[in-house]
Amino acid sequence: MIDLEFLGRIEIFESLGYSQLKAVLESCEEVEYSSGDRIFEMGKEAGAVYAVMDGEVTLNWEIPGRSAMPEKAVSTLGKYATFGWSSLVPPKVYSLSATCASDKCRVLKAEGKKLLDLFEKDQEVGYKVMSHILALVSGRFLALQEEVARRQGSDIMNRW
Amino acid sequence: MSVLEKLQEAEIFKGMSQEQLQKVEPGCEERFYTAEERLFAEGEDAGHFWLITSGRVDLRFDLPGRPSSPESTLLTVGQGEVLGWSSFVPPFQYKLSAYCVSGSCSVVCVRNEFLKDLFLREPGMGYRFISYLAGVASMHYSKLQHSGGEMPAAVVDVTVHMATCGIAAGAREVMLALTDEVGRSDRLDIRVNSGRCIGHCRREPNVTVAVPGEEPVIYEKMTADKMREVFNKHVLAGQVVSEYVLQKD
Repeated sequence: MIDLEFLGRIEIFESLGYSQLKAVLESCEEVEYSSGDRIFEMGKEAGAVYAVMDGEVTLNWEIPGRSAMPEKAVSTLGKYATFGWSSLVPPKVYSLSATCASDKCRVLKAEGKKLLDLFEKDQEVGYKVMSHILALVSGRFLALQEEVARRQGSDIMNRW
Repeated sequence: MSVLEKLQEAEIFKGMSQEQLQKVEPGCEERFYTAEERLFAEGEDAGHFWLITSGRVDLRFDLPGRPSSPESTLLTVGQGEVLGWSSFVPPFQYKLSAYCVSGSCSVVCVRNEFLKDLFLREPGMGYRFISYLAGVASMHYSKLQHSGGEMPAAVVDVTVHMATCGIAAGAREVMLALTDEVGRSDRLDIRVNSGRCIGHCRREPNVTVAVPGEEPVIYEKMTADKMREVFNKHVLAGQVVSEYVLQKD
């Protein structure tokens, strides 16, 4: 069961007050997965944002025709971490795949459309949550940027 | 054109009324740059949000001891596009350097503290603005993922060893067949490299296939046909073609 205390600890909702959390709670449900279950797939329409309640979730870059490679996961997420932010920003397509990496995973699922409707109605909630979403996207961009810069920079430095 | 008119034309401010934009205007400053002039540097405090009103700007990473060059460009943005979402995200530092790369560039820059104060009073404006920035960040992420930025966790590296000895043995034809197959496959996660001699001159041309999470496999005495077969079986389907694997001397 999802309670307000848990909801308030999730990074994207941590700036919200009591009544705002109650409004968000109405868009949330709890879903359980087993080890290896795919929560969502890269390239598919992004319908929901998630947060880990229990267990571990990995985010992977998928190679078509191959299984996910947990040992090469882009990121491993634990309790309170948010994933699936693509459901709140255009083009609303998941940029990575998410897989349950522990025996069981309990996750909070919030439909992107319901949240966006709520943000339209209460734009203070929208401003606070989307500020956190911007930070998440920015963090993901930065990690990728550093890797690309490292590779590209190494190519430039080693050229002769 | 006045600053207010420039704000009205920008996509990020679409949907905001003239009255709302008039509240943004006092925090704005117009700046002008010439080719290769820097707007801001990686690591500096991100104090402004930037709207490009004319010209093109490169976002580059800096290399120690080297002047900035287009080789280190990750993204290019143009008129109507925005820069500086770092000014809204802790630790509020620019993560790349920005350079004007057209003959001249003009920008409207807005102090982020000014905008944050405004958005606390007008959360509706803040919501629209930050949602747009999150969309821009997401789009840039996606671009980087699919252009220069093959995802590091899963890039398949295929290296044709093309030193003089390899080329003499036919490595160029192997490379042509490989690039042809990659083009046909429409796969974005395969990187083609040309490499140096690895000391097996009698068994050249050599090709190394490195799949994430697996030991790299070196193939020997490759031809264009063998390359196509290895590409389809190993790179695409994950099955090593044992009969062409380099024999240990």
